[in-house]
Amino acid sequence: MAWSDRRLTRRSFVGAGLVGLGASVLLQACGGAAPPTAAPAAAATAVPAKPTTAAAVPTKPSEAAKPAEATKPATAPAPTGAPTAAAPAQKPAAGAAMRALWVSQPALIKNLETYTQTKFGPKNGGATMSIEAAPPEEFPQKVLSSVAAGTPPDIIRNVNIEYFAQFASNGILLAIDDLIKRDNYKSYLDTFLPGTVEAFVFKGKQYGAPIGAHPSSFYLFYNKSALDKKNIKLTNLGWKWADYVDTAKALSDAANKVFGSWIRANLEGYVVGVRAMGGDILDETGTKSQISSEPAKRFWKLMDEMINVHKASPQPSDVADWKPPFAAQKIMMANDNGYRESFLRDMVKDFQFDTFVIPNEGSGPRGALVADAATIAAKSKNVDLAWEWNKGVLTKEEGILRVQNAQYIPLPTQEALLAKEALVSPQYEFYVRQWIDKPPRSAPIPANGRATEMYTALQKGFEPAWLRTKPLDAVVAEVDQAIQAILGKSPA
Amino acid sequence: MGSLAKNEARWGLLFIAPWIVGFLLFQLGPMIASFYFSLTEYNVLRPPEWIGLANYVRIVTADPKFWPSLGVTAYYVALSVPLTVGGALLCAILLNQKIKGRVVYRALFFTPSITPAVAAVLVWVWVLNPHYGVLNYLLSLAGIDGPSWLGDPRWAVPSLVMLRIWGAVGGTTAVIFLSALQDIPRHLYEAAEVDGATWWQLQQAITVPLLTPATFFALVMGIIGSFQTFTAAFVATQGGPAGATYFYVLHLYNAAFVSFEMGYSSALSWVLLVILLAFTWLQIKGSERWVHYGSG
Repeated sequence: MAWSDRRLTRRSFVGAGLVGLGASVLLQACGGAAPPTAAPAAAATAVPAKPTTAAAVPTKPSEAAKPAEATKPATAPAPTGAPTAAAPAQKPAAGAAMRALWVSQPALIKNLETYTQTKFGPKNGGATMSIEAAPPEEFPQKVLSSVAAGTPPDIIRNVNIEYFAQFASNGILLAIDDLIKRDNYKSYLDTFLPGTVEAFVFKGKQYGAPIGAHPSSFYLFYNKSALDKKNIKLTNLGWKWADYVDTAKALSDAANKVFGSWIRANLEGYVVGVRAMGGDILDETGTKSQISSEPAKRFWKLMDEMINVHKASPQPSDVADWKPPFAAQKIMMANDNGYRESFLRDMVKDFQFDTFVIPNEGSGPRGALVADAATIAAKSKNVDLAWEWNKGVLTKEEGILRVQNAQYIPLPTQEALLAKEALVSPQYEFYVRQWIDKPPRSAPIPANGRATEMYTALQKGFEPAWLRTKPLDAVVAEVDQAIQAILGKSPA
Repeated sequence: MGSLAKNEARWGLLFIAPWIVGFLLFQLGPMIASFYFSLTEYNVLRPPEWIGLANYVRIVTADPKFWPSLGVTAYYVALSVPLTVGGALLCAILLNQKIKGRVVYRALFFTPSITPAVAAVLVWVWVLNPHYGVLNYLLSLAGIDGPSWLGDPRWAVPSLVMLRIWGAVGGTTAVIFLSALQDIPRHLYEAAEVDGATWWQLQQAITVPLLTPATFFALVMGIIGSFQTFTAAFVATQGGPAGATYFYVLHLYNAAFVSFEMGYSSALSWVLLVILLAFTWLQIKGSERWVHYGSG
């Protein structure tokens, strides 16, 4: 049995292992060069932008007082491709290939691809924009891994109430103040509805402009045929929550699993609902939870009673998407964003539907602004070209096309919203005019930027209340504590 | 070792070389890195800051979701592993019968295990919808008012176990059992039959003991796989309702990609590894009492 033979084999094995380990270390070293740099977007701009709209995104007073520190890079130099205030726009390289990371929105992506091929490419030396779609849940994972791997996209889709603040504070996004200034673009941005451009301000820097926005779920879709049968008319814009509950009860038919109402139970539903009671989720500084406030408690009591006492709403966990049951006449009223009306036009066949607004017992306007932007990555090697692409999708014409073809969130300028071709139905016009008349404030963002964490905790935190696995007051206290703990964490 | 044995050893090493190289290149490095990160505060975008064992201390003393998520996962493991392993054994016994079209049945039973998990879960979400789903519709025909499968905290984990059973009983575990069944020497049964053994006695005295190595393997792999369960909860329930399906790996994922706490998430991964090692060690120790290897 030859001990020497066995040793020979083992040695070969160990040798191969060491070679592999060496290669592994080499690979790690090569891959590791790019990542933890966090070149802050602000570093890309030579002149700090005037914090004109900082109030839209609450910051801790101490942080707001130290803008230079807030934008100081953690370790890295400024991104090489970033523009400076003095730098003129560079002529695009012929056939430059860019990448965008987007969430799965097939109709919108098709629209953006058409724009790239038919308008942007021909004007920019055949430049292309490849749009990579990821499911919403996996989106941050894709962004983080691409940035960490040193292969960031040129454009990153961002929503103000999701990862925007986290990405901005970690230097993933490019501040575009200098680009706006260089191209005299501010005058156009000033035509956007109040609050929409400000939704992408973080610590005094502008990181994007909204290619789409909406005032969130204050809009009420209802089965007009069913209400007509009950001789109920929705005409009083000043109606109260008690009226809403009565209407929902009148429309419910428990024996046939027909629910009079469906209240949107995601983060937007919460914000809009709580604001409609006169409260909010956070205080103005973004550092203190308002979950235990009286208006907030009133809203959760309303939800609980609608679901568990009146049986006029299904459990939110049972019906995530209200539109199919609405089209099947199993849900009679539902609050959502107004642009979803375009989906209903295709789905509803057997009855008439119409639109109204949810009650508002607060002093502020209905809703909570949510906006979408195609932000530029701080480490993009094609900053000027990405900005050109961005400006192209922010035009009135593209905004109208998106509403017409892509059933997408509208471009928030009065000109685009009220253009004749964009007013696709009377219901949609009603929604748009409600929004323009009283534009709401943005949905709250925590001062430490942990928006997604906060909203996830909120959304999941209330399930025990609806399911009554715990007393309502205990749930509210627990959620309040959880949110406060998140607000107390270090910046994301 | 003779030259033949030496030659065989070389070939053996050559055949497993792709795995070894892959492991060293793509797994060992990240594992070492993740252990280092577990001792730091790290969000991928900023350089890691050394904090020693603070993440581990936080896990066991200050994370309000650690113990609940571990409890939910343990409940899922306790429910799913026996049912999946038992179901796979039953499936293998059925598919080992000499029946017409056996190959077709084997293919059909195997199909769920190669169906993309996300697609399968989305279909199941529709099937299990309490108001508009097929399952409750079928139950209603029998006069049964079905529950809210994924929306009721009492039913959510059993529903995900149901998905697991659907996807796993005809899969690789059943194939392993099938292979093990076919390896049992026929003459053992024949000898026992000559001695007058009944069917039940044959199973007790021959089939079950000779299947114990395969059963042991299935249990070890089943427990490891179930502890790592993620996709179904991520897609179907996001940990709800009311935290009923908030599995450990979902907690780990959220720490990494919702909170951007990669250091903490790495620590959670290593805690899971320790738990799995402990379980596997206990099983190996326990196996000495009930696993029978033919040569012994």
